[in-house]
Amino acid sequence: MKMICINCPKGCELDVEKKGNDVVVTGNACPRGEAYGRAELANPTRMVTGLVRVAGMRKPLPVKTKTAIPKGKINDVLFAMHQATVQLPVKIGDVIVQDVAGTGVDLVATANM
Amino acid sequence: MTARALSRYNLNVAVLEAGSDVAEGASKANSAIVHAGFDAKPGTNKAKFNVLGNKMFEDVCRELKVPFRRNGSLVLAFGAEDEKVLADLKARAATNGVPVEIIAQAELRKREPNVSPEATAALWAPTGGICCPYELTFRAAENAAANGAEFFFDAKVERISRAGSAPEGLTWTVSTADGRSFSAKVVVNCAGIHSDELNNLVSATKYSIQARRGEYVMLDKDEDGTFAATMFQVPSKMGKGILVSPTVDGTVIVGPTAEDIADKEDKATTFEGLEKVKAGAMRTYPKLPLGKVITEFSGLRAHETTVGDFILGEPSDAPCFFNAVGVESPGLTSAPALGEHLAESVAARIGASRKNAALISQDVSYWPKTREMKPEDLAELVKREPAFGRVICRCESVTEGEIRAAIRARVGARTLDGIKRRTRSGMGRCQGGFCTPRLIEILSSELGLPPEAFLLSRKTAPKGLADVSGKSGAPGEAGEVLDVVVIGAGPAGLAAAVAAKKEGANGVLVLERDDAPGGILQQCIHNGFGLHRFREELTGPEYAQRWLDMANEAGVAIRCGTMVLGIEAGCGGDIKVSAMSPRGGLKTYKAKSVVLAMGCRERPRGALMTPGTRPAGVYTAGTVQRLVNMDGIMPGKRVVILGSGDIGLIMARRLTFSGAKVLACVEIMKKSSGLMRNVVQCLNDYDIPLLLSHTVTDVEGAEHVTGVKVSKVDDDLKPIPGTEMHFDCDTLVLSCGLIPENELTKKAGVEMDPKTRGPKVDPKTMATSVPGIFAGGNVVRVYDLVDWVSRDSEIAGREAAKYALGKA
Repeated sequence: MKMICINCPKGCELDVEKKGNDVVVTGNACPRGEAYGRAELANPTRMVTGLVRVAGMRKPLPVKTKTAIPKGKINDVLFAMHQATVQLPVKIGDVIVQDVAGTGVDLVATANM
Repeated sequence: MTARALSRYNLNVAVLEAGSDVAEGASKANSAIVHAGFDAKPGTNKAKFNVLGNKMFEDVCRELKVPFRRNGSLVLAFGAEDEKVLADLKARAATNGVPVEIIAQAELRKREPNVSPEATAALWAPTGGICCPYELTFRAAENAAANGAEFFFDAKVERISRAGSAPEGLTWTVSTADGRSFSAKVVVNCAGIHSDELNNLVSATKYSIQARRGEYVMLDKDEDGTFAATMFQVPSKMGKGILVSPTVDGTVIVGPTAEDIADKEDKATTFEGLEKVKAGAMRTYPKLPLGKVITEFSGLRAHETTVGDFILGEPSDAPCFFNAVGVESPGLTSAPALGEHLAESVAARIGASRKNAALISQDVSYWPKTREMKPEDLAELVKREPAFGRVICRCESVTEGEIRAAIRARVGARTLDGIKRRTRSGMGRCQGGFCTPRLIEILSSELGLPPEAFLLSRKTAPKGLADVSGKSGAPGEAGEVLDVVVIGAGPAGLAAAVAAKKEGANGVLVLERDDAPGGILQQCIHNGFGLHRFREELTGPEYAQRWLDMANEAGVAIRCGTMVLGIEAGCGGDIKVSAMSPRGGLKTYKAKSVVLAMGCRERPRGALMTPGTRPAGVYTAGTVQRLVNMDGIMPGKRVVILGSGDIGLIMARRLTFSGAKVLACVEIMKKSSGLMRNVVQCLNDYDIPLLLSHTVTDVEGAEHVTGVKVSKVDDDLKPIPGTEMHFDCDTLVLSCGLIPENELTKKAGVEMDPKTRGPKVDPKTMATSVPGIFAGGNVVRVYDLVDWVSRDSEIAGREAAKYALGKA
């Protein structure tokens, strides 16, 4: 399976093949590429960044999932972001939603406000 | 001008305007030329009022406090045939009483070195001039309002009826489409392109106006001085032909075409039209620099087809109804004389007397234009009114104070276009990319409406002073010499400042025009920053905060809300940096070295020459990013993205996340200009089609975007006929490249690199051609990755410190 690694701007073109129980990744320039290729085949994941409403303000708070979450869960995470409202002040890294959308990953603030 | 003239009589004057603002018709989109009057047919109203109006222009512009320059006009001849026409024009000029002379090629080349060598002779008309037509219009409106005239907008006249007999017992009733009605003794018809329709409502003598569209191209202020005079070519039946002319604002105007069209509202530009403008202008100016185009627009002339002249006065069957029908070129030139003439006729007809001169107000709601002020006067003004120290439009240097004054005027701005024409905010080379969100904020606060109300239309109006930042007492303000001044507190500036401190520099000051440090990273809320620098994948605000923390730790001083206006590198002495802020006013900082870190800006629609209408709903990707991520405003629901730059790709995903449908990303080249990783994770993940070798060939919608046409292009990037497809959309997002922002760099006399459009630098030290001035980040060239911006800017900061400390 051909795919493009999204880890860095290089965008290596990977060839990911299942050989028996093993997965062989070629075309990668670094170990992160191999890990990406394996994950993309088994369970593709993505970081999700977005915005959360701030009580009493128009300006929203930027947030992210602390680590990548399964690709199929993106919509659920976005829905959770949309539902949330935070009270200021907030610091970078503060948990805004714990275990967002049942992913086991926290939603955290990415700006001081 | 007629309302202004009428307001000087003892009369009650009401102005009904179909649009939401004054100058919404031909007044906002014409050549801005005050014609000498040599080519109008002798004996016509056009000839008479052209010559009369021309003579009045100095006085009128002085009274209204608007710019006017008698730069003279030249009509170029290309060969013997044309020279015969020049001789005819000269004879006509003599009959009209307009001074002209014919000059030979050598003299022409001496006066205008950029003129085509093909031009063999020219007619010189010294009384030709240039002005600002919309400024003239709104100041005339302000003065009319100061003398009691009332303005009613969105008042499209639908019916006109009459009762009683003239002049004493006669009453006209004028009804508008929205149900308002006005009674008056006299109606004056100055309805421009629709003046025939109004006449035809009341008179059996029918007129017919043919809309004649003219397309224009505007060149950047860099081109100021290319020509001294307005450069015409010998005229044709359709008009005065394509001209190239300086403007009073320092830009260069090129155009117009002349095309008869059926739809009186169709102000779209076209691919063919713009090609004609280019070809026509290149006859006069063979080196026409297409890279300097900042915008295109079109206007409609009101060409009357039965008489072909200005039709003035009362029709025989409609007493006390005064026409000004078919006022096309030279309408602007004639306007002051036409206004006087109509007002006198009206007053005489109903026996109105002139107001006592002492009671006539000269007020035009003038507010100070900060870009034209002397530094000491500006400093004084900012002390009194800090809003005049907060620059909102950086390209044209327009402050918050000016914008608020334009909204608070008698006939004040109520739309983005209204602010633009009154202040020039958004009229410069970035075409509103940076200032639009801020203008929306100001309109919203002044007029008490939600910001979304101002996104619906640029021109139709929808039904306090911002907090200033920047503490006083920053280093350098007591006049001491700083080691390093850094311009810009984005990733480049912060990295340079931190590195300069680490190298041992003492006074390090960062000047930032925005209200908060961090630069564009503040709005880049997606991840992907810092992998190289911090071995972590951070979002933009997180990456910026890392550097801000380092800067605070190192003891770097940052002043926000401070716009640098100039850099002066003396001969060997200290470098002087002048800057303005709402609280601090105008200040000059002295530094041993300076690091330029102003970043870059986006290419606007105008630079792409995309044909079509000019509705609301067209934004650059960075503007949308700011609106969505920082201001909490969604610009639309159905989006097409033109260009596949990284910000455009990132915004495709962001808009999808925020509930919009992104219909397609359209790229003229054969491959994406953004990173492949962004094509994968922003487009492919969400099934957004990427149309390579395609471009937008038409923008539709009068008020707001209603759709775009997309065509395939050939190997020369020209659209292929028959490949058009249509998208119904309400938003067009442009992601067509970034340009280093180097206005200050050029002012400082730094040598530029035409390829990168940034300063020439020594890659080892990031030193520019001017000793003591260094540069880092996107101001030098546009980088893919912020990590490399920081790395190279650290070099600039370190070397600037060494230079300041005498270690270099």
